[in-house]
Parts: sequence; structure tokens; C-alpha cells
Amino acid sequence: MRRSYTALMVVLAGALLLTGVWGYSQHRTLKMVAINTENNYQRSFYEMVNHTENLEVALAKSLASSSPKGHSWTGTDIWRQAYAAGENLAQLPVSQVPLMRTAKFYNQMGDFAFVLTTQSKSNQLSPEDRKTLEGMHQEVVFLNAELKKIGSGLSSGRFRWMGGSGATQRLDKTAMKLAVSGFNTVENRLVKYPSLTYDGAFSDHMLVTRPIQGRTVSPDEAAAIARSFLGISGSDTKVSVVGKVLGTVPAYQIQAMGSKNTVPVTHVEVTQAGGHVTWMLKRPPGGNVHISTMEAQQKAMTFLEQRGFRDMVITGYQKMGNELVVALARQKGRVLYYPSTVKVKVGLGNGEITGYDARGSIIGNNLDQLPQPKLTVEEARRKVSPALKITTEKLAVIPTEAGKELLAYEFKGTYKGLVFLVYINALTGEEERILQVVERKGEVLTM
Amino acid sequence: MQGGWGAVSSRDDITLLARLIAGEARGESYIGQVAVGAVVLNRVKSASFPNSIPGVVYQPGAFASVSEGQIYLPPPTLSVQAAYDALNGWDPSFGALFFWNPSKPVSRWIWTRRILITIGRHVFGR
Repeated sequence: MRRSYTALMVVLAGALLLTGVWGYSQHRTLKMVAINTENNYQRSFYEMVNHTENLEVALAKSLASSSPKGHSWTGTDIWRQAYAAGENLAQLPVSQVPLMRTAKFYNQMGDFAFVLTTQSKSNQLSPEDRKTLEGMHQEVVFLNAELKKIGSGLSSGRFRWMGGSGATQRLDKTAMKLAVSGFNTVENRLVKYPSLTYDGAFSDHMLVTRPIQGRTVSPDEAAAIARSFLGISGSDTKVSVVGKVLGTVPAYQIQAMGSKNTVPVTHVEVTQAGGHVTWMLKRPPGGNVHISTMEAQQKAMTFLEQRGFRDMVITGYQKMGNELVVALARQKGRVLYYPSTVKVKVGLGNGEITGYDARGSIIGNNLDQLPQPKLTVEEARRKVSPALKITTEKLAVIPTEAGKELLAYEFKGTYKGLVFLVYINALTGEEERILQVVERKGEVLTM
Repeated sequence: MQGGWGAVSSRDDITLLARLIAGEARGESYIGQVAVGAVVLNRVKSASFPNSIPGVVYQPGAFASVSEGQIYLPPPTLSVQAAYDALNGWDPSFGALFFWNPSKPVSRWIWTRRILITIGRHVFGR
């Protein structure tokens, strides 16, 4: 009796010891991981501080410079430092609202500086630009002072990132103060540059150029439009308006049910003005590939023709799983109009249309008011880099980042086996844009 | 500048986006999955968030599935297709920057966002 009692004690003691050893090694691993994480946070923080200090200097120099070269150089520096600071900020466990505002602050500063860099032609800053830069400089001075306080707290060990105390809360408070104090000045200033405040999927600012045409349609009319667009004839498939899109372009959100009317399978958006179908998306049908890329492209073309599109040409396509996305644009006469690009997604099983995106095309076009090119094709061709071997050329209208359009000559050329599209402004002869055409495994993409 | 013309997404970005969609929208309808992907891309375009897909996905505290390590599971095919569609511009979230499940505990602040649409279990807002 006594012996088994002793044996039991030994076994239990052994188990306890093992548990203790295991527990201790777990604790050590955890501590190492925690230290590693803390180190990463600290590094991101100090990088951010570094860049913000450089930012203060770059802003100051920009105010002191009096040459386009100087503004270009300091503008580039501001841009670089602002983005780097923003990247590092994104690594820190700062809570949502303060993070968004500070990130926005860095980003917009960078965008503003970028514009300054690419557009500075005169020696002196305009009075408004000077005022904006001065405002930015003040904000950064304030931010740096606060960051210094947090930094010294971190060094002395008073604050830590991990454990949700001190450092995070301190940075939150700083960011909030920054937001309140002068952030609005920067924001108001930047409204002037539409491309800089591009901040949504529907790119509100691109639509400012032309309002959507047409009389207002009712929800019922919109549902009927969706029904006929999808080619649903029977009345047993339920098509209904499930909501409204609030925003620059008011529209209806419509759902079409699948078989048995239990699960929504297709989503359609129809604008209130004019009842235009903006986009449509269907759950991809499973199954194998039965039709070729060529056949699928033809299906896309037919689909558009049946819905009133004329003169469309295919500008690119991409295969994904058992579907093909085809991009088409309108070609009127000899001009290819890229802003009207429509995307059609075709299922490669049976050729059914599973996706449609015509946001670019419903804003209308100015094809009837195109200016005449000031350069001839030959003059434009001379502007293209002599390193490129040109294979085709045509006229095209391309969208610009500022939400406008411009007429350009499009030259397709090759260099060392790589294919490029170069756009020469048909009115000024400037090289406006370069795209690389990438062809791989049955898809043609431009980047 | 936010990507500007021809923002290139590498194959890795597509897989990462697909894994995020799978982690956050598992069991949701196809449209719901594309909408979640679109929120990530809307954040990339927005000045208030990081400027890349990895930046948005891995932002500390942004997505529960990332914080909990679910993002390391291989994504189902449907999520990959949803990622492709989101990258190609389809946005059933109508420009949303946030989505949340109202039946789960969320911060009070998120309810101050403007609600754009509800798809399945998720509310999308901006």
C-alpha cells in the first residue's frame, strides 16, 4: 500500500515537473514572439518619425525655393517622405478613425507634392500653393512635436505598443488633434485637383464632366429594363428592386432570382436617369470549358449588338477559370474611343453572359465634337522613341487622370520582344502615356 | 498617386485577395464575396487607407480573419473568381470602405458610417 502510494507520488511529481518545463518553454516562446512584434511596431514607428522629420525639412525648403527645378526636387522629396511615412503608419496598431485621418493627411500631402512637381513651370509658387504648403508645414511641425513625446516615452519604457497601453492611446490622441486643428485646410485646397480626391469605385469625379442623359424611370420600369436586358422572358423568375444607390449617379439595385426563386443569382444596377444598365454580375456557372476564346469574344460582341451598341471593337481579353472577360471600345470612323470601354464576361461552358460593366459608356461621349489633329501621322510618329519598331498606328481618345479626355495617336511598337502602346497627343505632340501589352497564355492585357 | 493608369496586380495579390474573401465571406453568396473584395480595392484607392492590397489586408486590426490566422488557408475556386471580378472593377458594394456583420459585436463607431447596401449577412458602408 505504501509502496504504490510512493510510486503514485513520484509519477505525479514527474508529471508536474514536465508540465512546469513545458509551461516555461511556452512562456519563453511567447515572450520572444511578443518582443519580436513589439520590435516591429517600434521600427515602424521610428521609420515614420524619421520620414516625418524629413518631410518637415522638405516642406520648408520648398517654401524657400525659387526655381522650377527647386520645386520639382523638393516636391519629389515631399512626395517620397509622405508616402513612406504613410506606409509605416499602416503597420502600427492604431485604431480606425485616427489612422484614417493621419493616413489621409500623408497621402494627400504626397499627392499635392506630386502635382507641384509635374506642373511647376514658373519660378515662384502661386499665392495659393504657398499658403497650402505653409499650412502643411505647420501641421507637420505639430505632428513631429507630438511624435517626439511618444518616442521619448517609448525609449524610457513608459509606453509600449503591445499590451494596449500608452503608445497606442497617445498616438490616437495625437492623430485626433491633428485632424481637428488644421486638416480641413489641406482638404479644401485639394478639391481643386479632381484626380487627387479620387476615392471611390464609381470615381465620382470622372462623372462630373457629363451628366447622365434621360428622363427619370420608376423602380418598376427599372426592374422591367433589367428583365429584358438579362433576356428573361418568363414571369416565373423574380426580378425586383432591392435598394437604391446613393451617390453622384442615383440608381436602382436590382436582383434576379435563380431557379426556384430562393437565391439571388444576378445583380443589376440601372440608373434613375434614363434607365441605363450600368453593370451586371452573375454567379459563375461551374463546369468545363466547351467553347473557344474566339467564340466567346463573338458572343460578347453579339450581346452588345443586341443591346444597341454599334461599332465596337475588342481591345483586350483575360481568361479566368472558365470565364473570359472581354474589353470592347467604340470605334467611330478612324478614331477608337477608349472612355467608352465596356467589359463583358462570358462563361466558357455554354457562352452565357455572366458579367457586364458599362460605366464608362453610359456617360456619353463627345465623338461628334472631336477636334482635328494638329499633327499628321508622320509628325507624330517622329515623336515616338526611335528605339521602338512601330507596327500599327491609329487615332484614339484616351481618358486622363484628371477626368478629361484627349485625342492622341496610338502607336503599337516593339522593343526587344516587348510590346508597347505609345500615345502622342494629336494636338501638342507630347508623349502622354505608355502602356505595355502583355500577352500570355491566351490573354491580352495592357498595363 | 493612387495607381493612376494601369495599376498592376501581381498573381500574389490575386491569391491574397482571394484568401481574404474566403476568410471574411465564407458561406456568403457570390455577389457578397465580390463585394468584400471590392471593399479591399476601394480602400487601396482611398487616401485614408494603405495604398496596396497587402497593405490593406495586413493592416493591424482591420480584418478579423487576418488577426486570427484564417487567411493562411487555401482559397476555394469561387473566392478566386470573386477576387478576379473585384479586380476587374465589379463593385456590388457601391464604393463601400467598410463591411460588418450586425449580429456580431462591432465598435460603436462603425455605425456612424453611411450604409450603402446589405448583402447576405454583411452591411456595407462608407
